[in-house]
Amino acid sequence: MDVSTVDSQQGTARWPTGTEYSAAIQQPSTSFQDEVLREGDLTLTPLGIPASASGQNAIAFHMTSSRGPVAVRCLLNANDDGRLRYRSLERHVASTRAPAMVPATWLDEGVRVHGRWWPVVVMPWVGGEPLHVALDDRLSDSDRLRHLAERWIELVLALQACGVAHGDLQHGNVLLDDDDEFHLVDLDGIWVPDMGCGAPDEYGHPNYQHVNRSATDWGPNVDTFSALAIAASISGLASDPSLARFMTGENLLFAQADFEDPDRSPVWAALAASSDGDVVDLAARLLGFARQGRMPSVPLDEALDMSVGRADVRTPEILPPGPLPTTSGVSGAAWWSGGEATPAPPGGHASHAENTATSDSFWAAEPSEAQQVHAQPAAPGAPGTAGPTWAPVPAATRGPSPAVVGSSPPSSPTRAVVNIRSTPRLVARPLAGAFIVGAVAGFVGCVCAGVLQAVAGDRGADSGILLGVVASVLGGALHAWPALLLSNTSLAVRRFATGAAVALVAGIVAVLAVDAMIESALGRDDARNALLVACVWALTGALVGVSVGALRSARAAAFAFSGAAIAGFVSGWLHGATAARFEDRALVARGFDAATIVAVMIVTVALASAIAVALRFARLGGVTIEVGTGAGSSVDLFTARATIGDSPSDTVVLAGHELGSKAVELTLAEHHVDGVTRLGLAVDGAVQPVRFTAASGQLLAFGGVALRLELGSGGVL
Amino acid sequence: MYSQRVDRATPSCLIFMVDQSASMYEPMAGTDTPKSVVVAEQLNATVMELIQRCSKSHTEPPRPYFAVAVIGYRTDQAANAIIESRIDVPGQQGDLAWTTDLAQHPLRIEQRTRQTSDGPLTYRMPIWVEPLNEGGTPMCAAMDRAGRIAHAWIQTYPQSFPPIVINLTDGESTDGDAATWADRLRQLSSDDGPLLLFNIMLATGSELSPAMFPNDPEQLPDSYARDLFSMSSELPEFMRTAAVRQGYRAEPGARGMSMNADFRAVVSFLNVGTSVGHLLK
Repeated sequence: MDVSTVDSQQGTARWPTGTEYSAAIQQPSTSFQDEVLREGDLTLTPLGIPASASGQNAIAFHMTSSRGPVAVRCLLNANDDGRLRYRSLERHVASTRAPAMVPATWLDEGVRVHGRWWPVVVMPWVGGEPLHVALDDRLSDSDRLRHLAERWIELVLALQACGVAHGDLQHGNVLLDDDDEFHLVDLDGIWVPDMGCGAPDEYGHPNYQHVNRSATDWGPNVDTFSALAIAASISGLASDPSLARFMTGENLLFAQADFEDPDRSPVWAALAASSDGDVVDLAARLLGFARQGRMPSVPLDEALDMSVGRADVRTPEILPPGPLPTTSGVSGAAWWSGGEATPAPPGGHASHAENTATSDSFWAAEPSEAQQVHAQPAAPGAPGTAGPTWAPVPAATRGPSPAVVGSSPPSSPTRAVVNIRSTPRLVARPLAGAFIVGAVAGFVGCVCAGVLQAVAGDRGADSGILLGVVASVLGGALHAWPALLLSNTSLAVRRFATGAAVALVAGIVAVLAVDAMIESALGRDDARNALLVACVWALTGALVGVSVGALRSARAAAFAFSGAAIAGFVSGWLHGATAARFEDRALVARGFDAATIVAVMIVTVALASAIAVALRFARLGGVTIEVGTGAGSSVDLFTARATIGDSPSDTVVLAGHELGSKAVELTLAEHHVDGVTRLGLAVDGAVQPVRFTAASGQLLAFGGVALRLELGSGGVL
Repeated sequence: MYSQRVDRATPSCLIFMVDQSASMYEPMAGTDTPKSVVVAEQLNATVMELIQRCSKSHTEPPRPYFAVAVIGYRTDQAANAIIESRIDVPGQQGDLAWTTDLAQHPLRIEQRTRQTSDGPLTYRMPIWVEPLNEGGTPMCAAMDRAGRIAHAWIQTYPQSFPPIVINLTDGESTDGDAATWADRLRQLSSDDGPLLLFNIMLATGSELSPAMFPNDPEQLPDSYARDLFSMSSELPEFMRTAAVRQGYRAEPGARGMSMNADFRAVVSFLNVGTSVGHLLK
């Protein structure tokens, strides 16, 4: 019999309850839209109900998926800023690589309950224990604990340097894995700059916050107090094992009462009596802040002088429940005030429940009588379970940790902040680059031609040599330029050689084709001269363009051919028209005539610019390197298939990052890109599975590199 | 007042009083389902909610943040009142059981199928409370029992959030003036405030238009509703907010009371009345 059939009649004002989420997700094929979640495997309790962990505003379920183990957090009430908060966080984390933050993705259409979609936050499940349990496990190792305390402080310093504040640092939100790496979870209270939304409704765990923390304290330094409390706790435990008596399962060493009324709290005295000066110092600082009327608004580095301690302790992992009071069934003395005689409630004896005979003190049961030690009942249907009845997730199902969001603080956190949004170097822009390339190529070409002619002596093919050399230098330079921008000298040299060779062939063809024409036409009359020179340059340029373009794609070759032909013709005309007036014919023979050099340079600049513009129009897309070698420059992609890696055969060659060849393979479509990679790659901060898609404008981050994707021909300016 | 957080050191106590008189066999307004079945169903869902709120990690059992009692009241053929616990789990002390123990010992797990707008949804649901109905409505005796439980609780956990008693019934008391007992209950108090007593009156037949969380007895339709009003505690602020979130008007002074409650009202009422979980950390 099913009573809950009023599904679609439920008012939409009401958010689903945890039970409703729990029921819905038991059928992932209908309740999730995201493919990874639909195909995921829910973790169940021994009774077959989805295992969950609940917090203030959300309930989290655990599943194993193709992305590894993930937590799916479902909201229990409206979180108007949630989407904004998480999106801001994703952007900021991707760009600054904030340490230890577990990347979280907000899905607007996450889970379907009551006929409509509700948002969820998905994040990779971080293997690790909550801090209070983790410290407990490490109590016998004081060095390890001392090290942990130091790393904790470094972590929070690095976080603040990245401009990120967690907002709710407490033992439940700080996980420690087997490698002693910290992971911070539960990002509902996160602060990042430029968030665009206000303070969250809750102000952190009371055992970790200043008593007067309010909405106005939410900002970049909101973690200082709780971080200090945690640091003092870790180092305190290191120096004095018996401090474990202050751990209740809901805190480390401090509780709200210790901050509210420090004079009556024993923990401060205990810490002050430590033999470790650092412990005394940390505790004193924390106490000082606690006594102030307001939450400290200083960053941790200002609040601290450094140094940490260590310790040893033992506490049971899961505490037994407290006593339940016994109530006797026999009516006797009144439990209510007012002093009337006890009327037995009409209708006879009140109960036939259990009872103890004491009639005058049915509320006097000693707590010790009622004490219930929480035994380990066998879970139904789980024979032979001797240990805890809730199955922990086996380590084997832990997925790969995302490569970008590393768990150790970056060595120089400010560097990452500077690189992002850094002004692209002027020369990286196509047109500016083309100018430089063209001018240099022209100049160098002339000089080399002159040298060659001098070496070869006076021969009729002087123009030919000039053309050929200039063409190959130009071709090589155009081809090598992108590699040079990527600071990849060896690749640039290789590309130059290829480009020069290809362009040389083009140059030779051009020379041969017009050789006779020039011989016969030069000197006739100026107009015809100009026309001929224009044609020569047009042809040369077009062929150089074709050859350089052909190294990229057929489309690029065609565009470059046309662009260079036009530019070559126009600038060639200029050259031809001015040749008679400015050139010294004797010197031209040796290619050293200044006027010739200038004229040639003008032509090569024009050609280079035309080819650069043409290539930009011909490209299918491009990536701009935002973080990594060559930051600020862009690489054009001319073919639908492109690879990113550190081998010269890759389309986008990023050396120095140990990516391997073909680290990322991309297939470009009109409005999106499909990719395949074995690296932990994040698109706009969200870690992706092996196959992913990205759209124009999104940031791909992996292996210490961040690239912004563009589709379509790019701007040339 | 009413600001104590719920945790291991200061757990919270919820006492559900469930009318199991014969009239509860009648169908809930607007459905074919007996009221006793609806109530049992919703209590199971509520217990499940409470357990979920205590689940802090999927590798640990739920923590003992809540102690729950479900007291059923009815009379036998000889009009003797039968007041008994409707839950029974290991670790239970008298009528109270920790959520930790409840979580691990439901009576059974049922496989349910529900029709949703997207087709059938199949899921598993643990059951702790079974419907039952017989005889009359010894509400006073039940309140007496609730009072003892609450009193003993306060002695053991004086600093906790005060006990919450939620009475689900469909008629008047047949063993005396429930108002007297209601007053006695509401005079019990922990350091954090007086005990909270909420009453929900289930609608029968075709009566609809529930009155939910009223704040003005003059607006209520009849004397019985007004009596119920005076028997109910005012909602603490955070519960009033929870009521608003459920989509109801709950003005300041709103009481934890509902008349002619239909299915949806029962669900919302229980959600609001047990929303003390928001103080969990």
